Amino acid sequence: MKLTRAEMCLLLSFLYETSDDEITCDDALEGFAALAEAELRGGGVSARTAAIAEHVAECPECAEEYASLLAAIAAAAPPPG
Amino acid sequence: MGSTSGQDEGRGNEAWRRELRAAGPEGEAARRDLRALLVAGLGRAFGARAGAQVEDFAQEALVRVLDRLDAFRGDSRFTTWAMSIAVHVAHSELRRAHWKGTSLEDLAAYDEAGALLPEGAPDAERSLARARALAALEGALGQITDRQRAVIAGELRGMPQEEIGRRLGVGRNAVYKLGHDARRALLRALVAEGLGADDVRWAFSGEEGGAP
Repeated sequence: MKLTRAEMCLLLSFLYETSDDEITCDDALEGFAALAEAELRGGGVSARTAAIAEHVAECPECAEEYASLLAAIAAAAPPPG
Repeated sequence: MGSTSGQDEGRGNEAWRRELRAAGPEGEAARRDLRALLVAGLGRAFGARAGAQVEDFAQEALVRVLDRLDAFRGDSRFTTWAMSIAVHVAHSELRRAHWKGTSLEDLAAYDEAGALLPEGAPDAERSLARARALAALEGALGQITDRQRAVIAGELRGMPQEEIGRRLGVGRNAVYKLGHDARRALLRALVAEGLGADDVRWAFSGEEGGAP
């Protein structure tokens, strides 16, 4: 499959953000629950949870799933604090 | 997390895991309660978008949760973890339906270079730098495998990784690895050509001044 010029421009716009230790979507999914509870609680997060938050911010599919998780658990969330 | 709402049916994490494994009425009650909790959560998250399918999604999610009880790490409520699996199941099924019948070759090429580039014609030096970066990238794209190129193209054209994987006969993690390996190879090739991040950023920006 050949990329268009526009696609190569798009690829160049994020290619240099590639790092060796990125986490996968499946890794991120395993940490969604802890991240969601931390977010609803308003507390701090572990380094691992912070890495998952970073992945969610950059991955549209995980962002979509994470938003759905927040919506799904909103009524069952523990109170802040 | 010690707090449990009525939606947890008063069970803590360990009770959920123990009772879900149990045979007889205790196990049946736990599985029924968890399924009801998943249906309610999916209803909140998806509303009319999923409709009556939430019942099927919850059932599939329940099966996966039961298969993966040992994978629960205990760093959240058990029910939140189970819900994360349920929303993944739901999105996977909705994406599968959305992309059904679309091959990788059918995907429309991304063609909005204008949205990525600053307005106005670049000066000669910048124009040359862009052409050099694009030529180097095109050359590097010729060096990666067909499957890696298909993953990169599929991602750029908006197809979810799971759906790309379905078409290549591999799972989501394998798609990620193909794409990640491809990006690393492309990056190495560009850097070997003397094209660092600052050079490429400058070439495609509207910043004042000469090349870095």
